[in-house]
Amino acid sequence: MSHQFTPVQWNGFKWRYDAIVLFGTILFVAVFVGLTMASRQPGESLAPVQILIRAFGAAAFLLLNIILSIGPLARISARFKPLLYNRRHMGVWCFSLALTHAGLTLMWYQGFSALNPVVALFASNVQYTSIAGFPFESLGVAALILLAMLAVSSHDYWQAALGASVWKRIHMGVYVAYGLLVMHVMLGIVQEEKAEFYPASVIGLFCIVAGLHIFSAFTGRVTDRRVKASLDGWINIGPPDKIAENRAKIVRTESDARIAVFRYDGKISAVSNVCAHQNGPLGEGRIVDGCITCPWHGWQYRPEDGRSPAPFEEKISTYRVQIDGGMVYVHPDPLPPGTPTKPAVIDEAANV
Amino acid sequence: MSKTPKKDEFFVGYNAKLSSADRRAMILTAGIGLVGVALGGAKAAVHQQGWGSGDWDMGEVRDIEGIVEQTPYPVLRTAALDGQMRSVSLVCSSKCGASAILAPYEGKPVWVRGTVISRGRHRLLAVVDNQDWLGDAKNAVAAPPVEEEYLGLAALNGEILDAKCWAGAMRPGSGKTHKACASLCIRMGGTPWFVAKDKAGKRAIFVLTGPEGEPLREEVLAMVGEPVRASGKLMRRDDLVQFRVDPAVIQAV
Repeated sequence: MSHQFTPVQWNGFKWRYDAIVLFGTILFVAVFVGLTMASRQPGESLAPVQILIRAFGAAAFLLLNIILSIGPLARISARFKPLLYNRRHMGVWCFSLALTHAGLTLMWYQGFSALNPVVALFASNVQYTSIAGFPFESLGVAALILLAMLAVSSHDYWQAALGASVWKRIHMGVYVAYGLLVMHVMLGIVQEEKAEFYPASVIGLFCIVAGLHIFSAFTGRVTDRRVKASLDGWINIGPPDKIAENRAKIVRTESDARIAVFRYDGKISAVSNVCAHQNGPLGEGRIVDGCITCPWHGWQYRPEDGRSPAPFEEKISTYRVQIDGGMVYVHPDPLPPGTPTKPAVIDEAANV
Repeated sequence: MSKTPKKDEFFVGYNAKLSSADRRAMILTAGIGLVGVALGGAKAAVHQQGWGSGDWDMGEVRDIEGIVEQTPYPVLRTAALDGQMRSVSLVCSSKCGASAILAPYEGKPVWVRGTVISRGRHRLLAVVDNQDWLGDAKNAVAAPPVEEEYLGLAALNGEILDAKCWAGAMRPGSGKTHKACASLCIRMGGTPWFVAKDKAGKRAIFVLTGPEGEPLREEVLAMVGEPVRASGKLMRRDDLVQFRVDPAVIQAV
């Protein structure tokens, strides 16, 4: 939102959020390493590096599953929305864990020879047509490159530089990285280990992530049907009292645009439902200090003109609104971002 | 009038203020998450299969004398390690082969400096290749002729792997996650072994060679680290048993 970017705008919530993520990671790695050491059979000799390779790899994979579950969870229940706020820190941390896993792997398994370790990684196994022998490491490398791109571009600076739409499209690449990592794990450690726990866990986590996405999409679709405009081109969205004070009703037009119609201070205004930051659903936000406030990261816009308050410069499309016969109407044609529109004034007497 | 919720809670991250209900939900979520993470780490740890018993004693550098033989891979025929005549495989400390440096000493008594890698009855000497590690023997070295015995034909299920990794350099030094490492080691001059396993899990170790006892490297790289089946001749040379196979008949199982 600001044009003066700082690496991280810390606050107490972010500190607590990151501390719990860090503690969870340390807990996972410590439990894994400790119990691996404790459960070894007499006479077995463990290589600490190999234990750490597994610990960091498993931690990164588990964290990515958690990260991908937060979005649909927040759509299913607003209680999970605070988890969205700092999710990108989890993403960067997930990449750091994956990078540690990859670095240790490259050093341990592909180092100590006359060949460059990266060359050795790709030259050592080229059985791309075999399931049993498939070089699963290459899938991990591809996923790591994607995660690196996402981690580097996660800052608001890149979002402003690339634009919300391009940035969002790039960051949908996390699903490609996830798919690659599922295959990386299934064709790697799951093929090696004999216990059913490992395939069951990977498939179970995948089903949870996929199931949450499907469920949230389905529940969203039920309340997100397209609304037809009447003959004069306006959409009737019902009486004003069907919109909670300082909240919005979201309307999906025939052209598939979503409009957030807000009620506040006895007035009605309509703006695009898409936040300029990360395409967050503005209609699920609230009027705070006179501004529409995005539920994802708190970006704000004035309802009358779709502009962020000074010194910020973001703009979103506005829509014409009117109240006629006790009903709120919105015109589905968007006005250019930042265009001032006259709010419709609610005649309380007429609404009683 | 519209119905305004009694508590219209709304979290804005930069305000860092959670409603009491959101705070309770976040504490519950964090608690469940941390318990789940700990349980996940525990389950992932305890279900791992055994890591093997190999060991590489890098702390004790030894000078051992014996006769160099490179048929098909470098060994030192010596009585020095445990008093009996043994064939100790000579390997690099890093991922390379010792054959080129040992070539001028073929059949000759030498001293070799290295550290011992051992697993079960199998012994390897990882030469200390960052310093002088090889020279003419300073003492008289017993050199009885190599005992060779044909043991018969065999069809075995097992895994091709790098001797040094499996014996203790890597733990575990077998399986899918180790495949690329084993392949690199053998490509760079390591000794391929065939670790056979029967249905009861009983294990037997063989030195993998070509049909006439020649070394195999590039020919078997594609099959390294995978469950395979191979058939060939078993030939004992001193205390090592060679599994002599045509690489073309090695099949994935």
